[in-house]
Amino acid sequence: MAEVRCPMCGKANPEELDVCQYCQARLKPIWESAPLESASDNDLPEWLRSLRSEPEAEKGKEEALPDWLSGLRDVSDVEAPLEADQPPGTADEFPQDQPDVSSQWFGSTFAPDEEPAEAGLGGQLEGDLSEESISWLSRIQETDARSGEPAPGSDEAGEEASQLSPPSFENEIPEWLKPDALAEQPPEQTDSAPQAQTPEWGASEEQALPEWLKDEMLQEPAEQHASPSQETPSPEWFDEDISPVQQLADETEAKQQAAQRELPDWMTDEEGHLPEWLQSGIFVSPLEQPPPPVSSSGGEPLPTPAEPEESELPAADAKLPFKMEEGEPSPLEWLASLETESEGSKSAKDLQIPPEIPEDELSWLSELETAYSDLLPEVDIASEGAGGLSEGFESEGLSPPPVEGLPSWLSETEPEGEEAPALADEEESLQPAELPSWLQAMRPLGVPDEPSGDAGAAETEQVEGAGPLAGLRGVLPAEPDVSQGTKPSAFPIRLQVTAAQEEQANLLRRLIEAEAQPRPLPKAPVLPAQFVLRLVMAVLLILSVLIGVVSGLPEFARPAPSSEILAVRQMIEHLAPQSPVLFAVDYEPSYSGEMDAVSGAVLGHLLRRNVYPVMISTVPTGPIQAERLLNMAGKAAGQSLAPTEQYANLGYLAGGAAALAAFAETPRAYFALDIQGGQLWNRPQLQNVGSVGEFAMVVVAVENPDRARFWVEQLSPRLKGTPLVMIVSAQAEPLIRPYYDAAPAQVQGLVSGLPGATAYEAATVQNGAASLYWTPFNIGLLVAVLLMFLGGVMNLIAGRIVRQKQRQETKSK
Amino acid sequence: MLSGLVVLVGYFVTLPGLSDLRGLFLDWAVILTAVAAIVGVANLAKVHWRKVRTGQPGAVFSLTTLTSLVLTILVVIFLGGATSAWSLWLFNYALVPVEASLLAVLSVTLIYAFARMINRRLTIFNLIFAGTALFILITAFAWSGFDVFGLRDIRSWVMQVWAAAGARGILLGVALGAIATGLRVLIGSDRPYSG
Repeated sequence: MAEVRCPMCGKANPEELDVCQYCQARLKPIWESAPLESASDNDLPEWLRSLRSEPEAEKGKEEALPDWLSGLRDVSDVEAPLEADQPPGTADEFPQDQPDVSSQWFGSTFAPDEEPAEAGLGGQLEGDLSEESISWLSRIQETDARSGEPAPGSDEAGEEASQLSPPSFENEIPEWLKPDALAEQPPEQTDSAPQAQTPEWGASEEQALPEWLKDEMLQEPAEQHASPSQETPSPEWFDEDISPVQQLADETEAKQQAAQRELPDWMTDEEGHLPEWLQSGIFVSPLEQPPPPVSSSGGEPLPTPAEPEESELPAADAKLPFKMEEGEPSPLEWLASLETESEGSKSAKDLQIPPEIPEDELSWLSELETAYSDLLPEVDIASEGAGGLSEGFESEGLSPPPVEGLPSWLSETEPEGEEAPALADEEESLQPAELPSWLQAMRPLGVPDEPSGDAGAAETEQVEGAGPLAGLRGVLPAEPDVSQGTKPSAFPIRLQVTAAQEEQANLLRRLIEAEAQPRPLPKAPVLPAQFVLRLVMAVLLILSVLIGVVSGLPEFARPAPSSEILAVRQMIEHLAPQSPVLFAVDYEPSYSGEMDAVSGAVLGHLLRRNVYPVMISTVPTGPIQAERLLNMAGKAAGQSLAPTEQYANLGYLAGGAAALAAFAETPRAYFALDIQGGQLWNRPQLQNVGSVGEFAMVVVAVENPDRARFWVEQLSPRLKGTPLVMIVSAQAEPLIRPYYDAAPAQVQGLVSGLPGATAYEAATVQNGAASLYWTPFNIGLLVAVLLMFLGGVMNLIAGRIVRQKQRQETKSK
Repeated sequence: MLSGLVVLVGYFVTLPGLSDLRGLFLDWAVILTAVAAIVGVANLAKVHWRKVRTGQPGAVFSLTTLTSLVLTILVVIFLGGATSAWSLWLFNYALVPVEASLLAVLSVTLIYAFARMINRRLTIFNLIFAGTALFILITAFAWSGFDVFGLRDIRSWVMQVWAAAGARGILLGVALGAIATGLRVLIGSDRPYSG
């Protein structure tokens, strides 16, 4: 059993099914039942073909229409928005999805699937010709008789038009149009309109004439009645069609532009123009023509300003078979003028019929002319063809639009004949830009020179082969163009360098190769020269110091005490006996050589003044360092200091700067006992001490500049007039001296380094450790300076010698 | 951060409650610092003990450190406390000579570095530094009658003006840095103790 593959889901279905059993999609095209599958259908875009696949509900409705009318649905659907501009009367009477009669008439001629070249129309002409085929002509007579009735825009006209249904239409055929009447007519008329030659479209129109077509036909005389001043009124849409050629050309262009603006983008091509088949449809459809102006009172169509003159209209009533009163508009005049226009644009005989249309398939045209020659005014078609609208087109240089597969006399002119050559000339005048070579070299790799314009065309021409979109054309490709980039061109690997660059590259390569070659390491000497130098320096320093310590010679004079040293001495001299003095020992054991001498000088003076020193330290080794210092100072003073009675050692104060601040405010809260475990604050020397400001003096021995700064900054605001004396090492003096030189001074006394201690001992008439160290210190200082100077000079000379040797070795290599 | 703000405000505003609160926070800080010192000693012993146990390079020095630590603790606990004669003996004949020797080695090293500096890097700043150091040392020499051409006055001018100016600049920079560091700690953007 044959199978039919569903175009939507791609699954196989039995041949007899009309609808896919899987996806309910139609298997057999709706238009397959059309009398003939025109070759132009293949030329239609896929989307337009799909538009024909309308639901089944509409199919039955359209089956009642002749094929040439139903084919116009596509065109009318496209032009549906334009019908909103129709007059109220016609808009109410006509369905929105149906064009008026003129559009049907013209549209059927331009419908691509109703090509006369398909020979289907000719075949139908032979079979469908009957007595009713000319019933529409009788309806024209009836409407002529009703010319005195209201205009179609009125309600009465609408009601009357609605009564003209096809079944009753046959009864209202005038007698002269009935077969009997036709038989009684003069022989020339009956001969000229034989029934056998009645066109098929006329018969089919009678059988399934839609309402809108009837209403339009009834509306024609009403409109003529609305303008009785004109002797030969005609439908306005037709009047505009037969207006002067220039006006027609302008209007045609305007209509095309308006239609293109209202149409969606997908209906236009890349340049924004409509396809030719659509342009022709729009051009010829009377719907595209501006509707007649409607009066504000009753919606009655007003005469259009471009209404043709009487002379421009053919004398339609000259040969009409029925009698008409003088001054009445002829109901067939529009038809006569229409055919005149059509034939005037170009006669079928005179036209250049495309070669693909056989000559015998166009025989119906001649038959059509013969059949209606008696109904139309006697117009010399040949002469009209020469002097009619086509002549106007030709005179204006316009040419009808090329409609493929249609007789040229039916196609409309399109004023593009002059624009195309103009565009071609303009394109030829534009010379392509020439990019410089350097700019072309900057072009990124992998990017084609020009965007392929065929890509879009290929997409639109591409037919989907699988999936639910199978069979559709113009589907967006699943693979983007980005992934279809071109392969970057290959470039040569060899660098293009100059001779100088190549020489430098070779030099660099030789250097790298030389670095990679192993070189024997020089043998390390048993005693390096630097080690020997350091050893000599150390020995010289030690010997010089030992000589000074042992011999005490030469004797150096003590430095004179400075003002800060004298201030310290003066303050200590004013201390009362047993007055509490807070003495902070905040230096490391490594600095004991210097700081013990400086601190011992001041502490010895305090002990001689019989004050009560209270030792404290923020360094973990500070408490025992204080014990050491007290022992040294006691020995120097010839005293044996007893703890608790002669001094107090508070111990270690943990917490750094924060602890100093807290201790300065509440010292009793931090130390209830001394380091020996004895009660502290009940001693008579300390009973009145509640804060650090209640000590008689605060002496801080510190070698670290930061720690010295902590003491000064944390204690100064809380001293309340208590003098602060700083005993610092020589390295910390530059940072502590600004506190002494400040105004007001935050430090009231300063003793720094071994020179300061020696000066203080000299000022206080002591002979302590500082005086003992003074001579070795000076000898050692002198030796150190000599070693620095000589060592520097020697290294400078040795370095130059070594560098010269290296240069010579490099040059020799 | 709140405690830091309270202590900071307490320096500028004198309020009874605020002062007490600030003192309380400072007491906590002192206690925590003391505990941190104990924890540090314990960690030091742990690290050196691990080195001794695993036999890493320098285990002998670690063993010496641990021995000294234990001996000192035993002396302080069982032989009269931190200021006893035994403790003072250890300090005078062990700790002070060792640390003073290190500083003496430093003096020789500085002299040698000065001589090598001229050989290796001879720039204008090195020359200024070397010349200033030599001038200050020479003028500090107290040889009788050595003060010729007012060299000591020049030394005092250099020490009082140039050195003091540089020192004050350093102090200002240190003060600004301390303020910035304090604020960073107060607002929580810096946690020096990994809190």
